Formats: sequence, structure tokens, C-alpha cells
Amino acid sequence: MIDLSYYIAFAFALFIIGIYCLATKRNMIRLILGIEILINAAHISFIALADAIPGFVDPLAQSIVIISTGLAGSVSAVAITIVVYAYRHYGTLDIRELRRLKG
Amino acid sequence: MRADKITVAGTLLALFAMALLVIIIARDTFPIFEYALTPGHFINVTQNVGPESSSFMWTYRNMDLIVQAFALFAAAAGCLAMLRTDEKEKPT
Amino acid sequence: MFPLTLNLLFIFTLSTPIAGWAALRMNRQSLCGVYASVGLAASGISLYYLFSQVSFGVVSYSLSVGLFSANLRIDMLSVFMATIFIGLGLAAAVYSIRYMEKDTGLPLYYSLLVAMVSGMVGVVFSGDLFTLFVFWELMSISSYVLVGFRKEKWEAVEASLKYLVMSAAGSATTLLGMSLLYGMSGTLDFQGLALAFNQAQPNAWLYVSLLLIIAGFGVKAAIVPLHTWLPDAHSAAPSPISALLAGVVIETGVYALCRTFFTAFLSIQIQWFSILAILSLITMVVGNLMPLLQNDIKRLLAYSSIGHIGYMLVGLVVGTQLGLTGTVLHIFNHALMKGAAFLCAGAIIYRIGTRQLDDMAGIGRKMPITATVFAVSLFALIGMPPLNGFVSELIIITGSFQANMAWLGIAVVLNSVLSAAYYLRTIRTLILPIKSEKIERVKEAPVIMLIPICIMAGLIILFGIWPDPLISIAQQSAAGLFPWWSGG
Repeated sequence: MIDLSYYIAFAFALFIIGIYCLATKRNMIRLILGIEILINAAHISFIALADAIPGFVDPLAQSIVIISTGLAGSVSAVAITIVVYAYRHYGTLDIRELRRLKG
Repeated sequence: MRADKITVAGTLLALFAMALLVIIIARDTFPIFEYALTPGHFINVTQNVGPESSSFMWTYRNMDLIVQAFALFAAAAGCLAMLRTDEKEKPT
Repeated sequence: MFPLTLNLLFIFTLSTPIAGWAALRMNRQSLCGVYASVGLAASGISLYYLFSQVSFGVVSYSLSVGLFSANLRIDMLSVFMATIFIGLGLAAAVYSIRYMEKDTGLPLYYSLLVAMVSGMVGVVFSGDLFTLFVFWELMSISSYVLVGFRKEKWEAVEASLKYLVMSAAGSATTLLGMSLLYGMSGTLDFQGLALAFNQAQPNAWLYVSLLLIIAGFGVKAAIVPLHTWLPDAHSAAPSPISALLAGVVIETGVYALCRTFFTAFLSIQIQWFSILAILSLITMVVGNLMPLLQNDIKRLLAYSSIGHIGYMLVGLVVGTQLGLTGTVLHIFNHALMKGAAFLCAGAIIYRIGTRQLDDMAGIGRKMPITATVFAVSLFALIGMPPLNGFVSELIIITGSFQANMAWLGIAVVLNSVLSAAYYLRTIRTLILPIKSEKIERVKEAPVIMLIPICIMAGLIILFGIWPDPLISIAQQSAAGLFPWWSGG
């Protein structure tokens, strides 16, 4: 079977990719997907740790992931609603244009 | 692919972070359940995981499920509030 | 099921839109706000019953027994903080009856307000890290929408998007840190984590988890490199929501850090002392230097919130009973002072329509009650003696001297002196001679807005002169953070 370290490395690699996506991408929808990637990295970490001991599965981690998936979906819904209004005000989906608030 | 300054800096930092991560993971293996208290384990055997796992969730974690329902309600109310249309004139 | 307080809050969250629809039929929009205020007052009264129960010991509510069930663990600190949240929520709801009367979508506004308060009360009541996370998300989702509530203005939408992205990233980071703690100890219950990690040898993964959790909760608590959402969100939100955000939402971040540090990370206390000490110093300095450049009154107050979070972190870093008493007391006092300041600033903005400090010259002469309360709250924020800010800052400074970290105490004193510069400048603007025509015609703020403001000013003066009952409650709360601490 695959060693636990590989799963943890994968979860952290996804986390780093998510942070990279939030820091460098310009499109607002891609930022929202970056948040989803971050949350999924945490989910993979939970599930991998639930399966660490061979032959047994811990249901606590699975319950946590099921509940957290629902919450992630609602955050995305609210985020996309706000992006709709940002597009109506600014006319572009580029986040670098939202620079009017400074200082 | 445009070599935007921020993209280049971001890529370099991400590669550096991944290299650091590989070094840390290779040095210390993860102490799985090392600090766990021994009588406290509640683990299912790998057969029929689905129904047993869901019965665990409904018996032990029901408070979280109810609060998640309220969070969904708040998200729905929020989206309705943001997408409302109003016919009368608005103040500035 | 849940304790009566949470039950009432949830019932009123669900039924406020119905009451709002009924109010719309009867053509009296303000009834919705009255309904929400009644709900918040009722749950505040039910807290008294919990308070008397909690004086004898920790109350725990769970539907099933065991180390894995989602449970609520209510002790004195929880009840103290829940009182602050419901009190400030009630003041904001009563204030919004008049402030938001020209907006549409009011039933949803009040429903989201009560949902945000119930999320915050749930965060302090929870006894398990994942239950805390779920209530945290409830609070956050309601606050994202409330910041961007006046969506016709570009400012609110931009601030709301920035706040959402940073706060959601913070929540995801917290979740990853929690998964590492779960992996090491098999449970996420506070009692279980404390027992598991109490005598443990520190491990490299414990440090990684510590870093992730500081980063995750620190976004909401506005610790300095992660604070950039705060000035925009607080100035773009409607004023009662700004009062709630600045007063209590950022304090839930400090509470969550306190809880996690004293249960899961007890064994590595030396390390997190140093990281947090540097962070608190930078937070205080940034929070007190940036307002010197501001012209917008709400941005100025928002930056000063960051400075006060720095003071609270000093109390946490000190880590002794006295330092934590100071932090808990300062949480209460800061909510009172900053809430009063934001509500007064909102009353001024409601009358003259602009947030720039230069346009407000002389408004104190036309709105005397508002200006007096504003001056009282700003003097309290500086930390002047007969008012309550002085008491809590004194306890924090004494705690830092007692624990041999005198440099932090001196930093707090110097920062308080520095903050006097911009607070006094604001007070001076209120009493300058009147220059513009618009201010000549301004009347005093409406009575419904004056009632919560005056009550808060009265409490600021009362708790400054007579802080004894509060100090004893704060001491009990701080002692409640340490029930599993065996070492010294």
C-alpha cells in the first residue's frame, strides 16, 4: 500500500498550489477555485490520516469531511454572488483592477 | 505565457516551498496517532464501512449537522439579500 | 437540545424573515427590527440562568457521551464573552432600526445579524475544535454578506470580496492545521487534546500545526501581516455592522487562539511565546502608526482596533493568570468602547452623509450628546484613568512586568501614548468652529440611535470607576482556561 508520507506530501503540495493560485491569478473565478483547492487539501489530509492504520478506518474524519464539504459549497455560493456584483460595478473580472481602496 | 513579475515570483516561491516540504517529510515521519489515549479508539473494520460510518455521524456528530444546516440557511439568505432587486429609488 | 440561549437565537434567526414579511404587509418596516431586538434581549436574559449554573462548575451539553461526540462546554469565559456578543448585537439591532430604514431587504439583514450573533455565541460555547469550526463558518458567512449589504456602492462589493477571499483562505489553513492535530491525537475534543498533548515531547509536526493554526485564526483576529482586509471591510460596511465587526468578530479570533494554545500546544509554550511576542509588537505598532495618516473616520477607528488586538495578544503572550485576566477584561472593555465609538461615528455619518474628517469640523456644537459620548469613548480608548480602558491596560502591563517581560509592558505604554495623537485630533475636529453651511443645518441624532449610545457611555464610566465585579469575573474566566495545566 502507499505509505502515509506520500499522502501528506500530496495534501501539502495541493495547499501550496492553492496559495500560489490565490496569490498570482487575476481572474476572480480562479480565486474562488483557489479557495476550493485549499479546502480540498485539508480534506485529503483528514481522509489520509483516517486510513493510516491498515485494516481499520476512523469514521470521525469522514464525518468531518462530509460536513466541511457542505460548508465549502456555501462559501463558494456567496463568493460567486459577490463576484457577479463586482463584475457589474467594474466591468471586468480582473482582480488587479479592484484597487480603488488604498491606504 | 506572459512572464508577469508576480507570476514568476509566485512560481519560484512555490517551488522553494515544495522543496522545503519534501525535506521536512523525508526527515521526520508523521507520528500517526502517537499521542492518542488508548481506550478511546472507535474504529470500524473494513467491511460495510458506509452505513456504519453514517450511523457514527448521526449518533455522535449531530450537533455539527444541525449547525451546518443553519450555515446553509445563512448562505441562502445571504445570496437572496445580495441578489435582491428594488423598485424604489436608493439613497447614496 | 442546545442551551436555551442558542435555541432562542436560532429560533429568531429562522423567524425574522417571516416577521419581516408580515411587517411589510402592515406597512411598518421597523417592526422587523423590533422583533429581532426582542429576540436578542430574550436570549440575553436567558444567559443569566447559565451564569448562575456556571459559577459552580463547567456545564457541558452533548447528545451522546464519549470523547468523539460534538459537545458544548460552557465555562465562565464562555458566558462572559457571550454576554458581550449579545449585548453589542442588541445595541446594533436597536440602532439599525433607524439607521437602515431607507434600505431594502431589511428582513434578511436582521436575520443575518441574529445568525452572526448566534454563530459567535456558538464559537465560545463549543467544546470541540470541529464544532468551533462549524460555528465559525456560520459567523463568517453571515459577515461576508453583511459587509457587502449596500451593494449599489462599489466600495462595499470590493471590500466584501477582499474580506471573503482572505477569510476563507484562513479557514482552510485552520482546517489543515486541525487535521494534523487530529492525526497525532485521534480526537479533536478540547479535553482530549489537552490530555493527549499535556506531557508530550514536542515533535516537528506539532510546530507545523502551530504555524498553520496561528495563520488561520490570525486572519480573523487581524494579526499584522494578515490584517489587510480590515480597514476596507470596516469602512465599507453599514455602521452597526462595523461596530459588531470591530468590537466582537475579531475578538473571537483571539478567543480561539487562547483556547487552542492552552489545550493543544501547552508543551511548546516557550516557542509560541516568542513568535507571538514579535507578532503582537508589530501589530501594536502598525495599528497605532497607520491612523495618523487617515482622513476617513471609520478607517481610523478600524486601524485602532488592530492596535487593541495587539494589546490583547500581549496579555496572551505573558501567559500567566494575571496576563490572561487582563486580556479577558480588555476584550470586554474594547467591545464596549469601540462599539460606542463606531455607533457615534455612524450617527454623525447618518446626519451629514460623509466620512471625511475634514468635512466634520465643528459638528460637536450641533450634535452635543453624540459628541460627548464620542469623546468619552475615545478617551477610554486612549486609556485615561477614570474610564474602563485604563483598568484593563493596567492589568496587562502589570502582568507583563510580573512575568519578566517588561519590554512588552513598556511597548504597550508607549503605544497608548502614541494613540493619543490621533484620538485627540478627532476630538479636536469635533469642537472646531463651524466652517461649512451643511453643518449649520444639522440636528441631533434620532432618539432611537441615542439610546444604545448613551447606555454604552454610562457603562464605560461605571466600569471605570467600579471595576471590581468585572475583575473578579475575568479572574474566574482566566482560571477556567487552565484546568488541565499541570506545570507552572
